[in-house]
Amino acid sequence: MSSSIHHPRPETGLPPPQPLDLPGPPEALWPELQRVGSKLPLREYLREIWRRREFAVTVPMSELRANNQDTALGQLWHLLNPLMLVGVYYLVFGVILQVETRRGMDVDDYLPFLIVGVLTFNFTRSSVRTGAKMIVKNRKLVQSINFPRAILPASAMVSETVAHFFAIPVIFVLILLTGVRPSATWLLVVPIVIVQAFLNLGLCMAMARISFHFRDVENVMPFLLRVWFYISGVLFPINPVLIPQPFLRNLLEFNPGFAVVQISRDAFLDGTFDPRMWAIASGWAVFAVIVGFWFFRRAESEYGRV
Amino acid sequence: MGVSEAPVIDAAVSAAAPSIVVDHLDVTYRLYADSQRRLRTLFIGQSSSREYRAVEAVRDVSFMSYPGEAVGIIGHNGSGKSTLLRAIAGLLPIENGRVYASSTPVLLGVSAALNKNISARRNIYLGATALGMPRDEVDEQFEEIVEFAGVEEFIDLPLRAFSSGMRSRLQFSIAAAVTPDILLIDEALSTGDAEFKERSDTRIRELIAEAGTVYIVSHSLKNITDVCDRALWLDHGVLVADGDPEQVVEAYEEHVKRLKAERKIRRRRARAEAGLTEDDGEA
Repeated sequence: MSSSIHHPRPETGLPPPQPLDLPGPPEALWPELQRVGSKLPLREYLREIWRRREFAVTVPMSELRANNQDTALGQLWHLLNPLMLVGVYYLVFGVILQVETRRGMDVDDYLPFLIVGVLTFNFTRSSVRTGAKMIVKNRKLVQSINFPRAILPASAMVSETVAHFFAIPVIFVLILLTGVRPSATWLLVVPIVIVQAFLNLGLCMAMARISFHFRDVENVMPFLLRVWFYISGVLFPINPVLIPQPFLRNLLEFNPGFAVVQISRDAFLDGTFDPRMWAIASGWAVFAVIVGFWFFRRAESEYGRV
Repeated sequence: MGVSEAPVIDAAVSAAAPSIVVDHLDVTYRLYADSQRRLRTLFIGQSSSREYRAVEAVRDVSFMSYPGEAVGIIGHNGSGKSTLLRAIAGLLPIENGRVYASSTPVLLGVSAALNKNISARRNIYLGATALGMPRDEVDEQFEEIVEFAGVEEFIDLPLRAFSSGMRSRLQFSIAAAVTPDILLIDEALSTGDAEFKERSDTRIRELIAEAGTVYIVSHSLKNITDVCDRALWLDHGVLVADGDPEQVVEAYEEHVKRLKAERKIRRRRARAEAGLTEDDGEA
């Protein structure tokens, strides 16, 4: 249905404006003219992002950081929330249900198992939640200034990664307290964070576009993230005893959330390195960034619409 | 804006490159109308039962402008002026037609792109870096920006403590500091006081003198005739006049007068008809 109420053209008494009568396309006549709204080639797009890198790391997050500004503990809540979760899960599953003693729970010590799992998964969970809101929350900015929109989910990823840097020593300290011994594989934390950061970036970009188109997604997201949490082996290991169905087990093992949690647990708790899990995790990270970015860019010109 | 290297094909085509070319531009908004959904239709009705309307905000607009021009855009509320500006700035998807610009236009809108929760100081960095200014340049220009906006005392207060006038002064000051080649002003100067208006007019003239292009959307017709050397008149998304600001503004004012008169006549007639039927007991 279009709004085609006919409005009579006002009588101006002036000569009517004429369409342009150019001998050729403008870009041919004047090479310095750039077509507005056309898609920038990838290299230029990335260059424009780099040019605005200071803007990228400060601005878009300031809107969301304002949320915790008025609380007494401020940014500390970012860390306290997952730790409280660990406490609750340990209380319920570890202490009350004594899940460690159940058949199939081949977990040496449930508490560090939980700590690494929850805090690692939380990095992704928090990034996706924040990243998804970036276009919507920065609507005004997007409607006023022309800048590469990918800056928004990217800055969410950067900010969440920085927050995770603070979580890492907490993980180490806590698992040391539960009796886990440090090992050389703890150094793998660096590649783990890199892989996970790229996974998060891809997800941020994809979710940012999806929630721009369908605001309903904001309501479904906590639910989806929770489901993902449960199926990523954070609360219980994924082995043939607990999950006898091979097809289901393979599916769960293949999910990027599990891969990332597992490589973290291998490195921090068991001192091992599983190439298969690393391949899955890295593969997902690369896939997520490429597809997420492509998907996000496709709607680049639309984000500014009112 | 240098002289183009392209061969002059037609003598009528100027050798100097235009700063903005708008060619058969259509901009259409798609808005979802609020439909009254009854619970039943959620289950039985189709998901695409939500109606949407396509509003043709800008229709087949074409014009070119050159460096050193100050172009005013006038028209009734909802005529597409802001939409046109935002399409030129690259902020809206284009339905049909093309827009070209010799550099990225900077848009100064009414609603602030600035963050009310953080200090004015941080907002300056925010705004300037968003517009692509490198941080060290912002450091250099910082004093000037603050001075021009006249907000020295309040610089570290959160922006929400600023009045709307102060905020728009700051916005303009930041945008002017970036010295854009193409500046698009959408009623952003309407909340300033007379003294600031003078300063901003001067700054605009400076930009023009440096071969920049400035587009101004304003309801203040005097502002248009004072500052601009060209005026575009948009009516319901259509460009109906393009030329000397005095002439275009005069024609526009005539048109508005005529519309008012027509409305008066229609109202009188309607009242007369209602008056006739009042005796029948129904209004």
